[in-house]
Amino acid sequence: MENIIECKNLTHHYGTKPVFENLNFNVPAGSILGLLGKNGTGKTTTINILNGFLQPTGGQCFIFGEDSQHLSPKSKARIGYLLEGHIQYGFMTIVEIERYYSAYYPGWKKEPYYELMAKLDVAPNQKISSMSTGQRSQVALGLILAQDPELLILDDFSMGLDPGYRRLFIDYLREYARAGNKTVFTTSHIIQDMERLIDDVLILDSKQVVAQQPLNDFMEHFRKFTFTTDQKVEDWSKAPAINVEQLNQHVELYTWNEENEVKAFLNGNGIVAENFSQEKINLEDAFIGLTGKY
Amino acid sequence: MLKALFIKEWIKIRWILIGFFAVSLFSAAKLLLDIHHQIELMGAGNLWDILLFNNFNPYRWMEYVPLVTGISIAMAQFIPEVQHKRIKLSFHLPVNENRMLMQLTLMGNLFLLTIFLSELVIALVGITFVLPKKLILDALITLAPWFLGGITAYHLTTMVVFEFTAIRRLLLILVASAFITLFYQSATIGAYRPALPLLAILTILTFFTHLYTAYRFRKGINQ
Amino acid sequence: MIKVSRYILILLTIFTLSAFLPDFFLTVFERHVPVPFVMYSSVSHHFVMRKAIDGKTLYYDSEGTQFNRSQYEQQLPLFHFRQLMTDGLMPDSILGKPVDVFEINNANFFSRITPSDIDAPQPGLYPLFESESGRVALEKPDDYFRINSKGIQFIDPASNGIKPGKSELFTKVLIDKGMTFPAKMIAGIPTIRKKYDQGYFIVDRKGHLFHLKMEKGLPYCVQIPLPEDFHILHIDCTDFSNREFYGYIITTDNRVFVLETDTYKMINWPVKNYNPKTDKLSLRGNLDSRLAIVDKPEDVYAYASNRQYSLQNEFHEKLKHNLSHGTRIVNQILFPFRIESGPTTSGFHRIMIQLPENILFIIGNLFFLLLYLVIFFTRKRKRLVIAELAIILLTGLYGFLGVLLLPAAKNNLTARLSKDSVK
Repeated sequence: MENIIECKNLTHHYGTKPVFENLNFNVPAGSILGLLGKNGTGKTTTINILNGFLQPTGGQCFIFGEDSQHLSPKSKARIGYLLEGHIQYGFMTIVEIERYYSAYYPGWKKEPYYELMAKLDVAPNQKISSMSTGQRSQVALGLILAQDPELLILDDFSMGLDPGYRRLFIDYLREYARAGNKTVFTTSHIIQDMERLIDDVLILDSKQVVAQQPLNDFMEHFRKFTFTTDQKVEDWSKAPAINVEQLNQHVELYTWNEENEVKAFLNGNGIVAENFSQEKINLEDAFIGLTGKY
Repeated sequence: MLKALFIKEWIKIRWILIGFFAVSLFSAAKLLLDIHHQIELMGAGNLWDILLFNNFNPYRWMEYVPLVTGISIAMAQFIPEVQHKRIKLSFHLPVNENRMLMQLTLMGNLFLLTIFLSELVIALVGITFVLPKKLILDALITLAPWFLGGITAYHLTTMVVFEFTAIRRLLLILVASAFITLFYQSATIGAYRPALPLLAILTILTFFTHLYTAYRFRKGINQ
Repeated sequence: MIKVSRYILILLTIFTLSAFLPDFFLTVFERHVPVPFVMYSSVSHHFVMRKAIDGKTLYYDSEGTQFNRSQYEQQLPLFHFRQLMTDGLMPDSILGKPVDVFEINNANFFSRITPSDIDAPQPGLYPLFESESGRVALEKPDDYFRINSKGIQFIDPASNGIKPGKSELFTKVLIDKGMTFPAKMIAGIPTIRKKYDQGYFIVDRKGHLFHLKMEKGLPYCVQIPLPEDFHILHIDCTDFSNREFYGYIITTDNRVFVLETDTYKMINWPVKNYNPKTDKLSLRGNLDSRLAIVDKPEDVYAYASNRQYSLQNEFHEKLKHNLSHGTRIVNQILFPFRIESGPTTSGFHRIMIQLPENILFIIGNLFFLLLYLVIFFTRKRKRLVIAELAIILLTGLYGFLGVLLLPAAKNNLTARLSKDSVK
């Protein structure tokens, strides 16, 4: 399958501080990929590099086979872009803004836009800047749907939205992407939203990729075990786990390993575990488990 | 696409444009009123006398209007684009980025030219009735550097707005301000003529200066 | 295009810096240059000078004799006669004749011609006065004339229209007298605040000189014969009480003449070392002598002639430079060239480049090139750009500051990586 996005050896520093080093990932056609990471791990940096709005200190990204730093107008027409905060030209009304963008895209479809706008409760002459964040996000979504791009790059689509608008966004997006075999690359800090939307997950932590796989795979293979123990274990670093948290007697252990491997470690180190069980976790739990609470 | 861009820019800054259009027309009207008032008070012959031999400058009220107009329109046009980096939306359109930037300033130039030419035409046509060719030419020579300065100020302000590192922006403002004073130095009537061709060339050069700072802005270069 | 934009910005920065930094340097370091005020004594026939230096005023003559103020004034009775009479020091007779204050005053005249007078915008329109109205005071005419390719045209300000009758009449007369239109130069005194009217002097397209007056409404015009190789640069009309001449004529070969009244004789006033484009010329006359003073940036020359314009005596004083020796060297090292803007030695506002006086700037340029390389390597920038180095080598300090202010933006490295590996 063709890769719509390819990033090779991507490295970036802010001054001398490294954000990530030698990042490699691909986004195949038709996948809905979510980029997860704590603040400062480089999510927006990655999106900026992809859109050509940031020059990485090393490495390259390619979209449709073109260097993302010098995308041709033809390629840009095939990419839909949502700016963080649903930033738009607020001095226009919803009619004016649709008319403006439609001039640039030959395949512009205004029906999906106005369908969405019909749901909005706004006066025809109301400027977008006077609308609520939720309403603005709907406008942004409508414009992207009307553009009908092959690739959508969305920088934190949840920002500032209440649950209603977030749900609307996700439903529309997922439907749109699935129906047209579109490729989506998105970030969000609300992980439940991501869970509803994405097929594939890419998790950044400590300057590198710590997980890149289909969401189902990830949820299947990344496990959380809980147990209680009387022992105060100082050093869990030798455990077959990514993160271990002990609060008094209660221990949470997050790992890629199987249950027996964990149990073997516990027995091997003389740690008596009681009430050992695997907890069912959602994406947010898994994410925190993988990247830690701090 | 240009038509769409024109409409967008018009919507964005139409009140500023209308405001400065009014100010410019008022400025031209004041000139005509002053001239006619002087003729009424002292007679045309004496007016010609002080214009020719006493360095009377009835145009001095028009001096800084183009400058303020150029700077204001540049700020009105581009500060909204730079806030929240909105201009990313324009850069993301399927148009080459430099082309988009030149189209944006093309719009600004169109607006400016409309305002300046209206002001100039009203002023010159008005005085054509009462002043001889020589004095009309003198008027044009006096006004020309101020209008060129206005266009230059538009482009240099745009250039400065895109520079977001504070120190460089300050230095660029200093250099740009010093440069613009070359258009506004005090001179006797008709004296600026030899400098006009060079000033015109320099003005045209400034048309391209914002591409550099806008590139730095686009790529997030902050050193 | 971004590169072009950057280099345009660098160019404009260099332009701006070269227009302002040298001035700023002068503002900080320029010192006062004492310039002697030169006169010619009718008593001693030496040059006598007055100079303000270090807060004191010196009086001395070309022989080196020092005076106090009163002694100085006594050297110049034709100039200081009022003070001397008040002091009771005025002699009874001068040049063998009894002192007549009225005669002395009438014979005195003074003019100053600067480069801004010579290279200046021309009004183009002039009032032609009635020079024989029979009235004591001059009266303003109700029209203005210009001489273009069509001839002489009188324009009525009230209607802003041409007066056809008068224009035709005068044009015919001018043509008859041999004028070829349009006029290259029209000189006169266009105000009624003068003692008498002598009309205008006109240089036509072929360089011939004419005198135009209006007498009782009718044109008076004569063509004035000029000597060989006589090309007029500037005419300055005067209205002195002695009515000796119509005014001064400066030629393109830097000679100075007076045009004698009525005879139209062109009399050479001896002046040497005069460059009308850069020097100020003072012309002074009295009952005893004719004095020409040439004020140059670093020199003062004075030439004393008798009333028949025969050179008697010359004087030269070298002036201090407006910068001390050390600062002058620094100035020449720092600033390879200057952009001068404004009416400095011209009535026009010109923007021009001033080339360096000597080659000391090469030191400065090399210094800044080196400094830039040092900065470059300590910051570990990616690539040396030859164009930047060339700019600094050529423009020194200006280019150095310009390149630092506007660093290269494009990282060409990534652009060159092959895309073929990803298809």
